[in-house]
Amino acid sequence: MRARYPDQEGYVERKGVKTHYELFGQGEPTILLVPSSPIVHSQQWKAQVPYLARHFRVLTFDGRGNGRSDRPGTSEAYGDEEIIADMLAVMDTTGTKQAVLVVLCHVWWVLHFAAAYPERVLGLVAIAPGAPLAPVHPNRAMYIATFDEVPDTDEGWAKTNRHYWLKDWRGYVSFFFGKMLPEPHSTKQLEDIIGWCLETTPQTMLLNREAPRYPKTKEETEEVCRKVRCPVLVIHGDLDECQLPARGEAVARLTGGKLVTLEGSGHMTPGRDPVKINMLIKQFADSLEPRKSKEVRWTRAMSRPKRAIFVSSSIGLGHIQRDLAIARELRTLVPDLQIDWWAQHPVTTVLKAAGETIHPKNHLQALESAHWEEESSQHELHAFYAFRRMDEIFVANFMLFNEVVQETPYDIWIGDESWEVDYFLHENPELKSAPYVFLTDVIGFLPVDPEGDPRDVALCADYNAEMIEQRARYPRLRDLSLYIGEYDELPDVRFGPGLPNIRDWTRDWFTPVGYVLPFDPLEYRDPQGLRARLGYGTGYPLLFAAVGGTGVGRNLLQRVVDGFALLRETMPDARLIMVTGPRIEPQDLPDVPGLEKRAYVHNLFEHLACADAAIVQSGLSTTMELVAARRPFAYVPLRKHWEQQNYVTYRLRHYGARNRLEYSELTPRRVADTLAELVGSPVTYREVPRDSARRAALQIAGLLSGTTRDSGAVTQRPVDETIRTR
Amino acid sequence: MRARYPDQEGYVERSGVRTSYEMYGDGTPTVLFLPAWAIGHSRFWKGQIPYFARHYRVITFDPRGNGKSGRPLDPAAYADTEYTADALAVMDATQTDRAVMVGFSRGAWLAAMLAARYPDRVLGAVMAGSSSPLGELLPERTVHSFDDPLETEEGWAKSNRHYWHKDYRGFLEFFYSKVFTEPHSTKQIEDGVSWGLETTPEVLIATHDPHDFSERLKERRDEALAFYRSIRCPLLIIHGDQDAVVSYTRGVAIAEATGTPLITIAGGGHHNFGRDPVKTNLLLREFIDRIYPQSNFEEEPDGDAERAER
Repeated sequence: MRARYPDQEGYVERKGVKTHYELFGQGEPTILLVPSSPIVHSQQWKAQVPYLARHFRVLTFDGRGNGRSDRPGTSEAYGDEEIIADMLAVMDTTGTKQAVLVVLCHVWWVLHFAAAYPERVLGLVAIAPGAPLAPVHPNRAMYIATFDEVPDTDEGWAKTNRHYWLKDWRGYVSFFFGKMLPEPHSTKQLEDIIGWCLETTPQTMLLNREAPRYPKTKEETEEVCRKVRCPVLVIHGDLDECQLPARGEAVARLTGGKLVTLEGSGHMTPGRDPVKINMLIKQFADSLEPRKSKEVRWTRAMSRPKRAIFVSSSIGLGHIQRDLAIARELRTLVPDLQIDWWAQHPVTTVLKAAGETIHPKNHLQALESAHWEEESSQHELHAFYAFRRMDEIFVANFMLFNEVVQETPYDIWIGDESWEVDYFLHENPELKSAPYVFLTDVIGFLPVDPEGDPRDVALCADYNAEMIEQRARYPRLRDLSLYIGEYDELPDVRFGPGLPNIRDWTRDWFTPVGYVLPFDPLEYRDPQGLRARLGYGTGYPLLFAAVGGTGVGRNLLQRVVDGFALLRETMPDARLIMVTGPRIEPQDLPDVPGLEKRAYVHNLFEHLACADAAIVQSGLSTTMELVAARRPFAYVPLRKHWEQQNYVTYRLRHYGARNRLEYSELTPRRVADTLAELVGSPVTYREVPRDSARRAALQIAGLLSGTTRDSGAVTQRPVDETIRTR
Repeated sequence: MRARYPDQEGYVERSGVRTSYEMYGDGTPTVLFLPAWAIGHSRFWKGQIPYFARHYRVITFDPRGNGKSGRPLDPAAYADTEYTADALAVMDATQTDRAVMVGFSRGAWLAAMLAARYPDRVLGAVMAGSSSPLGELLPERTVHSFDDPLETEEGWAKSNRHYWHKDYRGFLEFFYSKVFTEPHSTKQIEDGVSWGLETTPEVLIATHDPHDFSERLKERRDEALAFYRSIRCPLLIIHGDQDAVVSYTRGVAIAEATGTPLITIAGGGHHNFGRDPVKTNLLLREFIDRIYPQSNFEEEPDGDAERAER
């Protein structure tokens, strides 16, 4: 799912060739993200658009030859004159008098555009510019002369060859863009680009290669550069395998522009280092227009109240319950602490009901839950891939978070599975400006089937390796890493081939605080009394079904409805309370006698604590609440969900909850039988600790007070006791 | 010892009154830090000069009545129009075509006058803790007479010609404790008192009520509004919300009259540039960069390259 959709889109048509454009936002000036080459399309700017569109008007278009634009069949059609005319047509159609142009790689014709149409160009950002001002990169110089000949090898750069392109286009682009991304852990960027390359054909690229160009020679290009009058910013990675940095230096020198060198970077910096590129573009655009200053209130340091920003992951409703518990404990330790919450729907519903303060810019975030729903299907969510495909949303939301914490100086940043904050801070450590605490209940990605798809295994290992390297390089970036559990609740396996054992590594890098419950289980040991208090009455089997806060559980609930209808044949007085969650409409599920559907139940754990039996998705918080309340239950992990299949299952088994069901076997008969067995069955669960929220709060309070006095008070050990109960 | 010494010093003379100036650096644009009331002088800007002189051309001058400038005794010599004429004379003497004007307190009013009356000499105007015909007087300053002998010496009763003759130092200590109400401001207060002691009660009395342009505008609110509205150049308006010398309402009124956002220093007193130099330096630099984007603040000594490491 995209992080930002266009406000306007359309086509221009010239000489029978259509060009598709998209327009976003309404700030000033307009930023025109120029197409690099028909080898990719406007999605190449996916990490830039959502951020820039919040501040500027952003115009993108697919150059002819890829994306949603036409693919004409002659070389002339791909000439520089045509692309320039297309760009003018897009600008004219959208009423764009002037724009800041941002271009990656193919810059020569854009320089000509800036020189020929100075009244249309406010400024030019040239990233990794390609222009014949310095030699072709030596890696492929020799293959250019023999491009049309049948090659005797196709190793490495010899793939730069007409015949090879026609024979194995995928092989060529995989090789080429692999070289364009020398930065470690670039699998997602590479995967994206290869996908875009495959939307065009080698035939089109060959036509493009033969197309008329201006400027073409070094002399022509130098002359064009000297005519460029607008401000120019050149950005170039020093590991660029497409365009030698000497080309970038030449463009800057000849246009009187400024050069920024990115050390350790390759050719595809907008995708691989989006935070830095975004900030450089914004800074450049801001410098061109006289900016109006905004009202500013700056509070002297010693006059500031103590404030925390608490980021709570919005995937499901489990994190917010433990975060509220931790916040409650934290406030007893630091009574004057103000907390601004940073979370999304549906978590905001819970926060509002709890009377908490939500940051005023919170609503500008790109929605994660919509993305997860789009990614899921029949009780299946390949969560790792869904997470991986959330890259655009993560960048957009990190840029927003960064602005927010620059505007308001917080005493502490607390992030519960704040993946985007954590990742991009490790990639841009200079942006950290407050103590930062990271909490999580899951450590690492594990393939759903370790013997299965080798790509799954390799990608998970790659992600884990990146995390391990980042932590080792910037150990103090997180002031505290808190694990929600004890070490032996983690799977006792490696992060991947050749990588450390998860438990061993976590012992070195995380402080355990125990599993955090949102309630004290001792207060919920009287199910009959609880039933009376909550108005359920007694004397009949009371059953529950819940699927967390996203829409992915719809299919499971459907099967449970059918199963419950069957169950009523043998258990006619049973009642089932079905909690659909805020993103599934109760009326979308059928009605059967004895079934009561509710969209949202505040403090669901109280209700679950009086269940005679429950059937739930395998979200961590719901299942652990049932364990803490000692209720019989069955859990149905989402298919292909790495966390539910691995981590949750492992932890539940550690606590003695073993009724795991596979969705694929979940017929209505199976549901009915399972529920019938569960009612009245004995449970043998370990005790869930009662003091974990306090342990977490003590750690955080220690950071705020600057002493170890508070965190040193954490002495309780978890009780390793198995309790039998009816 | 100073952190930065002038590259050039000199003086201009108008009608027998000398105005001494200092110049630092050679960047672009020129930033002219204006004097405030003669109870202090150009050292008010000690937290600004070394920073801005690294990249811009900085000029400061001492107000007539203190520092190295002349000390006439005729009240008419202390009219706001005299100070603005001194400023222009300093600019002419230093071949300064246009500058960014920075002033606080009475100096902020001078910045407004220069911006309104000499727009071709002014790139932008910065006004902090602005003395102004707009807004309100602090209530505690309306109670006591300046000229009459008083029964009490408490608080603002010290702002009295008789008291100044009797215990000038006592007045300075009181006044500067009102300039710097922020906790732990002992050094700033000490500095201020020492600068106040460089002039005399006689001179200060002469500066007190010059019956000048700003005085006349205080009676004519509409004219005052029109005067501020006539300013065309970019403005930066800063005011501490705990200002105990010039009411915060004056900053609010100027911001409103000119359609410029007000930058509030919450917890801040009268001389924000003195007590919160880091923040105000950054605000001023951002302002200069905004209005003069070709300013060469970012240039490294070895050329244009900026390196950002992964």
